[in-house]
Amino acid sequence: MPDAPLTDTGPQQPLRVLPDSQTWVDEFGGILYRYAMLRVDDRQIAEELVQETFLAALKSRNGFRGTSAPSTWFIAILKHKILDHFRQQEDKPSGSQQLENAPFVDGLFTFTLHYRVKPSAEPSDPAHDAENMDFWRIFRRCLDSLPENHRRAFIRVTVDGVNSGDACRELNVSATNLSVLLHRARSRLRPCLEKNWLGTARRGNEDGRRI
Amino acid sequence: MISCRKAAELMSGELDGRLSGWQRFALKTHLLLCSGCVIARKQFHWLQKMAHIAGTEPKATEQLCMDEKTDLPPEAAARIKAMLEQAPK
Repeated sequence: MPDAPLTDTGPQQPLRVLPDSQTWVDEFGGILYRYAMLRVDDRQIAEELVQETFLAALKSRNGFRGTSAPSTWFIAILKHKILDHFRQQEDKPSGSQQLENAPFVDGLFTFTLHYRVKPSAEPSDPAHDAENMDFWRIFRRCLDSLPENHRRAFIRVTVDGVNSGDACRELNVSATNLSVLLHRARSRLRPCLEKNWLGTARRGNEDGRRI
Repeated sequence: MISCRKAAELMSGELDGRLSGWQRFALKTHLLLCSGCVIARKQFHWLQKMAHIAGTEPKATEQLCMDEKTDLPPEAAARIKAMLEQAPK
């Protein structure tokens, strides 16, 4: 009888093993906490989400198939916990959060509304940039320089792919204000990444540390 | 003719699929005459792709979580460990 073909693991990928639950907190607590903090920005809620993630993992650890890294499996559980958290939040009147004026976006432009620093660096292949650890370090630094609600809007919508209706509820803003938050976030990230990545020699450096 | 500032706003709306026909036309017209905004638009699209990779590639997702200043507080770690030990297995 022929061997059953392995699904989605690729020929050389050995199946991974979930470590003993006694080591989970030391091994994965940090990354789960940081993942949650980027999205909820509340230490207590982030701690609770990590705790719920480990409890759910304990119950369903027989569901770990070994086709992905354990950290990926834990993060997938945490993603669901974050969605549940936002859905369980009592329904506030949505869209009540007003946005502060943001002079920093205008600071990118002259009084005639032209760019102060004209965009000039051609972006390269995203897949190539994605393999470089330095890129992600710089991306993270640029994200950290954003105001908290801009960062969360950007992460939930463009990184996590949350639909705009859910994102409006999570951030407690109207659809129009969500667009404003995203525009401001992108308009800040773009020059930050041009200055620190696209316009530098770093990205072409083949010695860059691979992820 | 719209300003570069307005063009940047429309480019963000374009990425979210929220532009009206008139807005698309205004953006296209601006791009014909402004080389800086042509580059800016490419950079915005590139940024969108990088964000997508950050959300879908497990290694990239973890890289974006790297932050030396943030770690699970020790009290919380101890509490969760104790709870895991007591939990029915």
